[in-house]
Amino acid sequence: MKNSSKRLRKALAALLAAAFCVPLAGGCGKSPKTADEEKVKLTLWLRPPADALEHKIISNERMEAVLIEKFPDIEFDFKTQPIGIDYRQEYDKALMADTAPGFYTSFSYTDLPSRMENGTVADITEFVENWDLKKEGKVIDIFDHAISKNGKWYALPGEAYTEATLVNTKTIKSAGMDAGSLPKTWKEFAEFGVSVTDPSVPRIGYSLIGMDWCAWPFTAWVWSAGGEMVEPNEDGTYRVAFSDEPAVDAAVFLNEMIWKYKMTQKDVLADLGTVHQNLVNGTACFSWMSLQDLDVDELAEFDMTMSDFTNMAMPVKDASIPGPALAGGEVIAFNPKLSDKELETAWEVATWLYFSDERMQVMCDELKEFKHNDIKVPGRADWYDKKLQANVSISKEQLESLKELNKNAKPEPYCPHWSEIKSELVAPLQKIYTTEGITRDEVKRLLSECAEKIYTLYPNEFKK
Amino acid sequence: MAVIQDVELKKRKRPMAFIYIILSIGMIVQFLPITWMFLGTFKTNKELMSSVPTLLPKNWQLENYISMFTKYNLWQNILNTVFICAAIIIVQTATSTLAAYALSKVKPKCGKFIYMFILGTQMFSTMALLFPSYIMFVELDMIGNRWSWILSSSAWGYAIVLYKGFFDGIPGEMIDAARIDGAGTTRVIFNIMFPLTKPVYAVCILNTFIAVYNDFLFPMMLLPDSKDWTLMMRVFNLQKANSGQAEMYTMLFITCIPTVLFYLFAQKNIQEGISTAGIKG
Amino acid sequence: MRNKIEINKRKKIRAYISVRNEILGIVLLLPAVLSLLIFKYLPVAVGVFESFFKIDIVNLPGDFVGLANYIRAFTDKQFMGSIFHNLKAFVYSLAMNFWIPIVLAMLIDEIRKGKTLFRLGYFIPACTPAIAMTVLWKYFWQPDYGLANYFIGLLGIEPQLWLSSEKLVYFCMYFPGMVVCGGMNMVIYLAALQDVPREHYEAAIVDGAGILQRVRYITLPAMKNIIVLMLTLSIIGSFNLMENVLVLTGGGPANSTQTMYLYAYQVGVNSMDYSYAMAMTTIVFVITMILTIVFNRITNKED
Repeated sequence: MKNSSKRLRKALAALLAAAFCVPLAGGCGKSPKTADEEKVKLTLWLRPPADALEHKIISNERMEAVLIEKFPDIEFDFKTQPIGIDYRQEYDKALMADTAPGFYTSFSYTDLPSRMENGTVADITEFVENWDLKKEGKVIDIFDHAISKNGKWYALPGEAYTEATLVNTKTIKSAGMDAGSLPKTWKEFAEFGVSVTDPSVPRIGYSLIGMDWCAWPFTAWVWSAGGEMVEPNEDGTYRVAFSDEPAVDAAVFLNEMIWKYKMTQKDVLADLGTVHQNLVNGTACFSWMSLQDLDVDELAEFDMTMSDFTNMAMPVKDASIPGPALAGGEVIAFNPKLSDKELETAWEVATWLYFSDERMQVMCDELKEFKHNDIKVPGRADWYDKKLQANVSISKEQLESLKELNKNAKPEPYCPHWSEIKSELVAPLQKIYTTEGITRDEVKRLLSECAEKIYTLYPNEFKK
Repeated sequence: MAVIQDVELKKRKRPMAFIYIILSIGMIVQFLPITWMFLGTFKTNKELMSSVPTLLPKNWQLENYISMFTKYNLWQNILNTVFICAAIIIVQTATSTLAAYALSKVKPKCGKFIYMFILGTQMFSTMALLFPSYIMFVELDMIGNRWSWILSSSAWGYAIVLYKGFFDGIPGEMIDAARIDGAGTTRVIFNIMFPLTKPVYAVCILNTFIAVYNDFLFPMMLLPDSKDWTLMMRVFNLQKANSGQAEMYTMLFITCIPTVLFYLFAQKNIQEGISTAGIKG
Repeated sequence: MRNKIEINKRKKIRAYISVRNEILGIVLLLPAVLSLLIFKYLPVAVGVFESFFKIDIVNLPGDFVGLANYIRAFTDKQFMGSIFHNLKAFVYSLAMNFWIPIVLAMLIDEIRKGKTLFRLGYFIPACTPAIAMTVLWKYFWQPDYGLANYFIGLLGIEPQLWLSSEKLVYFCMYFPGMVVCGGMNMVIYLAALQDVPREHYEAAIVDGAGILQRVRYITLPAMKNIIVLMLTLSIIGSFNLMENVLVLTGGGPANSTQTMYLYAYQVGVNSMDYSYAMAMTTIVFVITMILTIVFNRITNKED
């Protein structure tokens, strides 16, 4: 008995050790790292994933080396942004676990209104107000309305871009059509789409997004019918406008493209990745997107080059409406859990990385070196032209088409709860897309119901 | 050899032939999806997406396998899978065996209450635990630590209940006899309880393996870094990222191999185990 | 006198043994109980606790809001609607999947030769990981190049939207279970069939009962317990349905496959409203708990 209990104790001790001490030891192992008082720690989520394109990896390696050299007082922790289930959620999760990066570059500016309210981004007013570059007017200001509120600043502007319709001219030519005269109105677009579509090739006119991001391109379609998604009221609240006639027209036209003209892919709820694939592999002639979403190396896999593509404004309901494009962009938000000193460090690094002349020059040089393309508007407005010129793979005409597009570009709405509105719209839009021969009244009813839901969900922000 | 008796078979052959035909056709159907997937691993994306599908690949090529292993850190994922599965199975089997033995043979006074306590956990589904576990592990500072998943998953009441049920069936005299011979608790467990309930262990370990191997949401929450991922987490991410169909088929085929092997090896024990344990479980 | 000492000694020894026994039992139970307590009960408690708050990610747990999240859940049409999606899933699984392994097990039980071959042949293909098969089937249903549209095209039927169609999506979800139908369930039924007393059949033949009558009056009643049990598991399973749907449809089209857990999950992931998500998971948890208890009662009574 005695003997056995000894052995038992041994076994149990081992078990307990295995079951409880190892993780605790693992957990404790983190904290007692001798905190170097001199060095401020800064976590960055900038390292590209291992399967990223080669030039991105090389460019990042250089950047890390430069950062370490430039900021010897900072202890950098370079990390890849966890992919997880949803990229925004990974930031929030990390924020909860105290592992979030010093600054985060993947928020769309439309995310900011809600985030300013729930405190998941830091207040950086004192830095922005003393920022020389901004005083000199060298920083792009198109996001200012979204990243500041009541005189307080919550983020730095990132890169801006416009999205509308991307055209694969190679596919159009292979269908025997003239890529020089692209359709301008819905009618022309539908005719064009019908004549290029041939399921046996397979070749389709327009590749459309039906996944849970469908409200994003839908916004541009509503604009192309002369409508709006939301409109500001005089008292600072908003009116839901996506159940008005223009929006109904747009939804009906999208349904007709699918079911009447049969010019889209059959998988009408396709996600962004599929739509992108359809365009670059030559299946689709048109899709939602823009030149900046293409990558030279990726195109090479499908025997395409940048010159096979061009930007086009959204087709419009009637010729009197200027062809719209949707402007979007990312902002650089700071971790609200940083201490004052850490925040200052993060600010220094972020402004140096994204706004210094030195880095802008490196960006242009690398664009040339890797023959890569990046036509987003950089944070430094004064460097935009130089950056565009550094895109050796993009022709003059394409750049012209881009500038043409930018003229009529409208920013994505940035009213409160915009992301939630977009998710609420998914169900009615998917229903419209998947129902063959849906009536106009039915479309109107679905959109109005959704509008009503928004009014009841957010009574303080939305009024009729 | 049941509903239709041998006596009848001598008179009427047709029902039996009919059964054989149905079963044979059905069995071929069983293998169709997996065969299509296997053949797909040798095809190119273009071939898989053509409007007229081909059964056999036009050119047999190993491109997909090579790119899977070079593009993604698949070896790491495989090693992670092995480590996690092994750790969970070991920790779980050890803790639940001890507990089941205590409940069945030692019978402390609080045994009844603890048995109810253990039974209660069977109602908890992973989803109910998903978000709160994350918050809890944030507090414990264990996010990104693989033991957070291992320990969570090895706590499984069902195993204890199952083992206890079978330990109950082992007569106490056998243990007493062993005791008189000088065997301690550990030896009783290893030399008597374990060999007598081997099939039950097989079923239980298999269930654990399958559950852990297939799990991706829970670990996705706890281990966001791709260096900690298991195969199934990689599958989930690849399908979300919409990588090519050929690559996906290859990945899926790779994930199927371990489970099928596991089943084949443990096949005999499982059959036996289910016929004893399955009904009660 | 000596006798008394002897008795006292024995009492002491007995007391000693029983104390030892208690300690031994507790020590043996400790690892399992602790881990269940920490990793099962504690998170559930954390979840219930957090569901009374409006979560603040930066400073957990946030503001106390009482029952607000629960009231919101019961007035949320989408959440209430998702209960019907769970029920619909259950009906489809019953109609398309549940009965097949039973029939299959009976057929395999009948044959005299090649039993092992068939058993393995039906068992192995079903062992493939569930998610892997879901992803594979997603490609089959793909409307542009998927096999499903190709095959119905051969029959001259118009191409369908399959997973993107509200009418067909549940069918598509459970069709794979009809094709690959063996697996664990079949083996369990097969094992249960072994326990049916053979002499009953002989008696039935003497009475002149046909094959179907024998199945109806002997086999099925004998399997009743296991069938009820599997049915219970199937109901609970359909209330816990989520991972499969997440991968296959993401809740679409137009939220028509959004189950309760999936909705809670998406609320948690997309709008980071963990506290509302946890209120909803708690509700589902209570529903499944009640179901489990009720079914346990029913089965126990029958025993």
